[in-house]
Amino acid sequence: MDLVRRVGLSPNVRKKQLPTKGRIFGVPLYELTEKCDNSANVPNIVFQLVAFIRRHGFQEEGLFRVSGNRRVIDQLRLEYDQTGTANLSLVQDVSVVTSIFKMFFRELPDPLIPDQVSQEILVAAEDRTLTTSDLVDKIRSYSKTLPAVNLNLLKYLCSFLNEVGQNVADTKMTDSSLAIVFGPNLFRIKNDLEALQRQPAITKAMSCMITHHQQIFSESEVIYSTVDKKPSPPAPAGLIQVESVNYNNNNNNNNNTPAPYFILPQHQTSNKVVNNSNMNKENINTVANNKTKDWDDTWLSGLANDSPSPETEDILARSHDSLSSMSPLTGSGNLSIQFNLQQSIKECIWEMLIPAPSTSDHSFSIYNDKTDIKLSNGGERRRKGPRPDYHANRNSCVAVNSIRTSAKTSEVKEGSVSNHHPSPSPSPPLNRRSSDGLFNYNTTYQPLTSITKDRASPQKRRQISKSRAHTDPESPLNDLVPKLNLKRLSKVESVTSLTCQSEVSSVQSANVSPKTSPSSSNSIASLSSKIALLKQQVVAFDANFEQVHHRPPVGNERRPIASTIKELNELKRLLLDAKAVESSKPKSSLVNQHAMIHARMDEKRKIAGRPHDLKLMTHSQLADEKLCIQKLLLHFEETYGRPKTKDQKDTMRPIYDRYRKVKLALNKKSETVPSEGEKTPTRANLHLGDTWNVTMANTTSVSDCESPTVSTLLDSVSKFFSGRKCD
Amino acid sequence: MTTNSSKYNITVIGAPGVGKSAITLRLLYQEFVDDYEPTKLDSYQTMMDYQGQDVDVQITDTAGQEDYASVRDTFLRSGEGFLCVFSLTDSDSYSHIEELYNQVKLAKSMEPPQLPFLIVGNKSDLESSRQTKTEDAQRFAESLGVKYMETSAKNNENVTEAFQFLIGMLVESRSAETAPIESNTGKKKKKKNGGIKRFLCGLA
Repeated sequence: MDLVRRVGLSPNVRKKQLPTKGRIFGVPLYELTEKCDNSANVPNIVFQLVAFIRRHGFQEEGLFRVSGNRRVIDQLRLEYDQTGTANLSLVQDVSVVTSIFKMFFRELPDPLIPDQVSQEILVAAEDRTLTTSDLVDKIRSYSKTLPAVNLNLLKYLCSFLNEVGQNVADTKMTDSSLAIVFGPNLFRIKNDLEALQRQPAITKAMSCMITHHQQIFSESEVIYSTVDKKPSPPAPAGLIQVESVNYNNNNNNNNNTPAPYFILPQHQTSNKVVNNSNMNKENINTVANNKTKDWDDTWLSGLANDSPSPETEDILARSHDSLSSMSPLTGSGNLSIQFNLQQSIKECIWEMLIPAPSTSDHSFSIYNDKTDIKLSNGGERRRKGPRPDYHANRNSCVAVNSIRTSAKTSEVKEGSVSNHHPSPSPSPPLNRRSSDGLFNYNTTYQPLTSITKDRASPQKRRQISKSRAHTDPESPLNDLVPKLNLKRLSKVESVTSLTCQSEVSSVQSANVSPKTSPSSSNSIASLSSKIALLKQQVVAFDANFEQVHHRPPVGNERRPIASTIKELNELKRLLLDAKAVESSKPKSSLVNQHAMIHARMDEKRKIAGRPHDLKLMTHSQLADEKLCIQKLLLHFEETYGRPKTKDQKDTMRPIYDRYRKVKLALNKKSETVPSEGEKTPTRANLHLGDTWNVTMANTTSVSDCESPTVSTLLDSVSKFFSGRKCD
Repeated sequence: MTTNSSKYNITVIGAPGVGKSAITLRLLYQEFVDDYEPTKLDSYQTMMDYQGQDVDVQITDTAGQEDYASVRDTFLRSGEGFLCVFSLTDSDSYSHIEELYNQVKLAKSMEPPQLPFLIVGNKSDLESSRQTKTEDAQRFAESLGVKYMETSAKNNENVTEAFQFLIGMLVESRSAETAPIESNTGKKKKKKNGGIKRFLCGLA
């Protein structure tokens, strides 16, 4: 693997990498941190790259996912390794910068999260009994054992990634996507196979650290602040003002400690902030000022109480609310102002988040009297006046964090973390492939595995997970997959683009009133022969083409026979229709049965007072529901036999579907009793192989196979595809 | 219709975000998945038809990110056929092909005529934002000695064809491989039998 990786680098990089002394990549973190001269106390390269990404990357789709041009990356890396810095202004492509950024973490000689800590965290992440908040607590306590330098950088990284995650609308990168991308760089596992196996846990832990970075990392600062118990400083409105107001050290502060960084200026001066010819801005400032007053009072009282009053929090939240409600966000045209405002706030927050120093003496040394504050527009302003006391800083930081929390609670996404909650999640019940440790890697040949979250539609997912469960009896999935396999009952919608045209209407309606397609006059046989003829033409064309060009026709090259293909497709569709009509004859009684069972189910539910929605049911209700459906289905199967044809299955599918969902929900709720599913009898000869069969005009054998094995399943899959491709 | 029980492994590789998963899922579900979650590693199993023969195919969908390079490398070794995807709308992803190609070559210690490798330019539906010319890619592929195709997972163009092509290469290479092996074992058996006979003769 190392070999491969080394080969990946361009020869230039390889040669020059070894001897240079002032290297950046592959150098221990503490060395880089010692040399750093930024306010965040993180390696300069990180600080620089973050600033660049923040300025240019937040609108970029796939930020951190897409990788940049290899050559440019190598050049940039070389530049860093040779000179210690790089001129990013020449870089056109943000993805180059993000790649370099990730590369930095990847190439650290020791992972940012050292082996021991990462093992602890991963074990916690793999423990599915833990709730999200438990996991947060655990990670927080484990992260305290990190070396201070690592912790500081980790904190910086996570809150930056959280910031990136806020721009999901533009970047399409959710916290969990970012976690997928960053996870392996921070949690490094040497053994490849183990690494693969633990990816879900890595992603989960990483995404948790990004989403909950305030909770996880804020406390680490408390160590330094036990002396100081000042209440939280003011609302973000104040933050903006700090930017441009000359800060007076003794201003508004009757305490011994220097004033907190974020203390609001006197009300009269506050309008200096933004050159406000703009009404909205004035509004904001007014709000801010009002709140400032409140806050001053609260703060003073808070000082007397020696502890932050709950009102403070409230005010903070409120002032933030009013800020956002007053802000042009709600208006139409002033997005840029809003953006600037937000940026400024973010910048300030960033300034404040930084100071978690590893050792206190070191932390003080990094503060100069003059510090550059980068503004959203890329310009820089100087802030005069002495740097505030560290503790004051710390408090501001906490306050800012709490503000961010309050602002963000509504935005907290359904990330992978919450999906792993043991309680039934709102995700589709058969979400097998979600990354919660289901991936069981035994050998190089694991038939069907996935550690990426699901992206196919729930129904499709079901199919996949089913077949996976069967091909891999050893897998932990068996605990989850019910033994009673009402296999393949999910409706295979849009079997092909061909069939979906003819089966637009829902299953039931299609069954009740089978469409009389124009083809019904045509006999199936005549259609088949026509299709065969057209196919011959297409094949002949392909063969000719291959003779001339020595390769199969690609894309538009088939255009000369486009009309033939079109006709062929049309005929196939007609054939399907005809077959559907044929098979739909003995159905009416089934439809009645279906309706009856439905009615009975509803009736029973009503009697027992069960809700229709499975998510609302308790465990015992689910069990009852399952029993009820099971009885009805068994009765149905006794009298009518199991549905055999496609149409019969389509008709009955909703009930079988529901049955399976109930079982799943039940299993989910009783994960502690995994054997639950085994109590039910196995009857697995329901399968939907023939649903696919309809797509093939030229083969016939699949629909009759009754064996429930995987091979038949796969057979049908292949038939399905062969119908599409090889005609 | 005979069923070939042996399994063929196709590994889908390529730069991040080029549509590896989209192509794979299009093949498997005939559906364009407009999802934006990076892949770590997915593996699917399906049956495909090759010249009237059912072949069992395992498709491994890998991560494009360098961050997953180590994991991906493991699977390069176990892969047999390689579908190397780049995005026609992203010249950076095109620039990654050669590197990937070299990695595969190294991992498999095979060269193209034997190495089932197919370069696929995806997103051919986004003709307006195309950054790589067909001729260039074609020429580049030829210089490596491999085939080139343009696909669109969105419009379902050439997706199955691409996989079919690789399957074809795999089936042929395997049948070419198994033939000599069979003859070898046959010889061994004969020898063994002869040995036993001789031994028996000695006894008699």
